[in-house]
Amino acid sequence: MMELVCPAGTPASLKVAVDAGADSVYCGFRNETNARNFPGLNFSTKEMEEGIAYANANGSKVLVAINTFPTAGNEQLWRDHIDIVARCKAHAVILCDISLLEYARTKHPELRRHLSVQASASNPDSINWYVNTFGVSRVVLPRVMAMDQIAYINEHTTAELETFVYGGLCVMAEGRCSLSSYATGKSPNMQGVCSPASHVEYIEEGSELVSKLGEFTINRFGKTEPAGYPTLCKGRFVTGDEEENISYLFEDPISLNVSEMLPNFAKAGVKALKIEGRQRSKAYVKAVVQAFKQAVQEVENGETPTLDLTALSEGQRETQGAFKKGWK
Amino acid sequence: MPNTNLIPPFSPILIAGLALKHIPISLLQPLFSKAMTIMSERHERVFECLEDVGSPSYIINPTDLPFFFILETKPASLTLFKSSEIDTQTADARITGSFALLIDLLEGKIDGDAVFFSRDLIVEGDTEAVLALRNAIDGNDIDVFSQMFEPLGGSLQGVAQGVTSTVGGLLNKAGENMSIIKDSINYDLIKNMDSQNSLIKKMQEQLATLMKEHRQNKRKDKKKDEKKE
Repeated sequence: MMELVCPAGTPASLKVAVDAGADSVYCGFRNETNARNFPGLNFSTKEMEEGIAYANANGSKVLVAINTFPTAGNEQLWRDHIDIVARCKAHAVILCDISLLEYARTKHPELRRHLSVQASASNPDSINWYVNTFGVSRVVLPRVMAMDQIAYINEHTTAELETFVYGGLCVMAEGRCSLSSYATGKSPNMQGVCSPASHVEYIEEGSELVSKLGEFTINRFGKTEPAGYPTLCKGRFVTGDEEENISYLFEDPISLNVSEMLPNFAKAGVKALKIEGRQRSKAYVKAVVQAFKQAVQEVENGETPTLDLTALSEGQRETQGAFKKGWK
Repeated sequence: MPNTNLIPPFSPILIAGLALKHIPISLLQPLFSKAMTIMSERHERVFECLEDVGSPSYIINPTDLPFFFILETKPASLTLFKSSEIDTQTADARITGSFALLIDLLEGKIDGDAVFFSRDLIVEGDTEAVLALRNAIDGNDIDVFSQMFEPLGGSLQGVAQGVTSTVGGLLNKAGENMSIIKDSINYDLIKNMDSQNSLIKKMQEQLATLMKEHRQNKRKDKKKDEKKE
């Protein structure tokens, strides 16, 4: 059966995910060592120890994300947290930076190393280099790949493959996106924040909701139009010379949901299914984990699951993204 | 232009709110103050998390009640004001929604992002402060009603919680009836809106065609001019 990897932004969410049947839970520390460094979120060292103990006692595993790139002269913070992960006996550490992969390999060879989506490894040569050089056991694939590409990679690597199946959708090559950095000076790659809340402003103008990021107006939602996150990639842009040509350019505000394609993931050799959303609430974690747990069981029974999670989705819309490529 | 998203939902709480309008705030304040004291003692972690973002203050504005709250987080306090005074008060951030939605958020029963996407929750001001509050609250298991009624003490608290549970059930049933009444009241309005919407859609399509033609003509003219040159 495919492994269900679930998000936890707080100890309360971790408990909810474990109780809802998560096979694995991924989480991070309360600092810039992980790509969801939002205020009030994440784990202290003590909370991480307690969370891992709770998961282990209840048949779940904890994967700790240290998936940002260390800033020059400040590398020790990232290394110290890898030491903590090893000491807490987490199941694995999720890394993207090659210096940290080497550090983990030499200092904690017994600790499983997963390659974060932030490394953006998307072909067998790249993945096999991480496997052979740093002993990576699992690779989280970028959300820009088609199903036949995933199957091809699986045939040409020994690494376990993990793919996103639900939640926020990054349309760029992860780890290399500089849109947030361009608008705010902060990015998920270095500071662990995409569109940091400190730079976001929501303004109610009449019945319209205007979202701003830094100096940029990202979007303007009509009265009954569902809203989305204030990220540049999901903003509306003026194209060409015509002022009235305002439209989404990179991607609409929309969430990934490939529940219907789970049998294809199994066929392609995917080992683990990942749910995005460490920044979401425990109510979200409970609802999505329970739904996907049942869906994975349905796949095991030879059925094709269909999950409608629109109410929880960004912009209240869902897509199968690049997994089901409808364009050339 | 008034913000139509601030119109409260037609609900039993709205009806109860109309009744509460006649009760002086000074009578309600002690109950909320005591509940806040209990919450700050029991959920110290919530307020510690908020220190990282400078212990902000919040206006919590339930659209279906005749009053709103100002939540100060250091030291923790909750002060009631009449709704009519909302424009005279300031805070770092303002959070607006129906009372039931705000309570469900506080108790971690619903997802804050989802109700933001659906536009049932409005956030204004310091977004970082709002996010920090949401995450801090969600990381704790808060039971609002037990804390509201704890000041009443042992046996009375039990009675009050029993009443709350019964009232909760009745409110749910009343809520179902309300939707029937609401649909009935809105029937003609919805019918009119449907026909207006289809008219607007037709006009939008016509406008899009006209604009397309206009752009094509502009391009043609531009090409002609270039040839002449």
